[in-house]
Amino acid sequence: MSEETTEGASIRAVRLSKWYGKVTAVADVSLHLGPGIWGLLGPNGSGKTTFMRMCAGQIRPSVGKLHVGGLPPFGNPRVMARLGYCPEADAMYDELTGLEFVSAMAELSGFPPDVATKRAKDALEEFGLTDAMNRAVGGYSRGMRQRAKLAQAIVHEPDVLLLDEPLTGTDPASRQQILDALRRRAKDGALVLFSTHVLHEIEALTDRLLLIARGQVVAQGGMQEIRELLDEHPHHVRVQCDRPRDLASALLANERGVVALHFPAEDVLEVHTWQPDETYDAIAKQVVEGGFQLRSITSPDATLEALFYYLVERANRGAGTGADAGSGGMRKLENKAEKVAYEQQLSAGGGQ
Amino acid sequence: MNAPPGLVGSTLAVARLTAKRVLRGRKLRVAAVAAFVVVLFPAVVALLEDDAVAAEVVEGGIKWGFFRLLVFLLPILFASGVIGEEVEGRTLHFLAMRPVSRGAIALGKLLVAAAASLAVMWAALLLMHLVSFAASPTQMIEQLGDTARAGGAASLLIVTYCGICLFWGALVPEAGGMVSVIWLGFVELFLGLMPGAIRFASMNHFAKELAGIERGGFFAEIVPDVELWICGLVVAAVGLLFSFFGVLWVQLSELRFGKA
Repeated sequence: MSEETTEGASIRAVRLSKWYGKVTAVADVSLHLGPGIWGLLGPNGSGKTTFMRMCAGQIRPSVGKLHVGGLPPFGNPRVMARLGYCPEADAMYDELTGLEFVSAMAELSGFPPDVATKRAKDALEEFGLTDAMNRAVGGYSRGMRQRAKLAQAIVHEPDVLLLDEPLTGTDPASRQQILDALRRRAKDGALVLFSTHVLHEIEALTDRLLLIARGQVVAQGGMQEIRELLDEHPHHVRVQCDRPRDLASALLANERGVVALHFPAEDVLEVHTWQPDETYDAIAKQVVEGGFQLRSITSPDATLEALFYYLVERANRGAGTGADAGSGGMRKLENKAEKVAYEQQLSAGGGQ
Repeated sequence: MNAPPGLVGSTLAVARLTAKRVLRGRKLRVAAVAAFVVVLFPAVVALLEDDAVAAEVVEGGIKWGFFRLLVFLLPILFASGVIGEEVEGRTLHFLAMRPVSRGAIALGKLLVAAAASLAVMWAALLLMHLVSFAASPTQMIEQLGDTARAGGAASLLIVTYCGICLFWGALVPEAGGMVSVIWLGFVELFLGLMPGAIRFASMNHFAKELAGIERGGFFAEIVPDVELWICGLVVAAVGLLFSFFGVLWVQLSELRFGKA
């Protein structure tokens, strides 16, 4: 395909990287996203915003190719005409009213002032801001500002929407309003890329996910596969009790799923296990039988963040880089040998 | 989807948005107060003196209040932060994400900065002229030509300074005001008082020649004379050059988006 040939709503990246000095923000990402809603998930600082800004044409890739709708986006008005962007930062033109702000954005998209005003009113109505549209944006609540930012993103009917943490600060009712609006656009053929670090935000919206961590796309696939990964990766169980070393001995004698044990504090035992449910049962049993004084049991890694770090570790060992995640879809720990290797690495890395 | 607007349409759309913000912002009020303070003293003194002294006081007011103060203050206030404030305030996304060239964004902002500076300067100049010669309508009409000439030269200088401030503000968004102050203070004010041809580095010198203001500074008598039309051309060319490179830099750079 020629570089100057447009195509439908799509984002295509080939070995895309971006760095600032020695800091790598996005590393070797290859992917192709088509119409529909895509969740871009990653912990804070993982490279989501940098990736979005490259897609939005605000920064240039350091290396690699990036096309949005078939065209390179940096400083390209033809791409901007098709893009709607809701930035993460809670910054707006506080002197303007909601209507003036969104109308100005429509005018900048090429609509005459009267048409721009009409479109702005429709966009603000879609996000429930009709009553507040003549008030200065500076007086809006966080959720209202978020909705005004979304209104400016859709006012020119773009077919690629880039939304960076768009639900931040919104209440449940407006959240529903936002999700409905995004679903409508996706149904009409738009590509919606929705970034968040909160898994359940995305669950309500889409089944198509990109997981990004340390600048790499570590996995790509459906929610079910993410869930399986969450269940499958080794869990940490943190137990605070009066005699952690005795509890550890009892567990080692009776529990086969335990991979490694740590004592990060005097009264804390941390268990790495492949079988979290069985381990929880075993701990409960030992606590009762051994008369331990239990203060708390927590699982510090039963979160998406832990999954990211696990996947990154795996990626660093060569089991699924951004490139193959993009082309091959979600990868899991596919065989026992991989699990054993991981167990060995954990044991060598500090099991006591 | 709509066709992207052309350069003129985009520039005007940016200018309308920027003008609304300027009209409601604090800068315009600060500029108005500063201009009022600058004209107040010479205007009152001129009003109380006889006609001959009044004309001298007005000339002094233009020289010191306008060419040594307002022509610096207004562009620094309105133009040096036009890009930096958007970058630091993280609002540049909204403009840069539209199908308008970044150059049009810079140009629209430069237009508004220049227009606001000129509006304040002319308002102050006319106020000073009217108040100073309020007691003598004949003098008011006779002196109008000189005041208009000074206003024209100051206008050209202000537009040039807006271009300089835009350039430094685009190049160093986080410290555009500071760098502009240093540049204008050293090159325009300090070198503009130096003897000989060194003074030619300063557009302030050429603009004062255009305005017909008596030379000041060190060894003013050894500064070579230059034709007035050349003075005007030099000031305009320098303004265009800085504006062009400022706009070009905004067009091509990432403007700290990655770090914002």
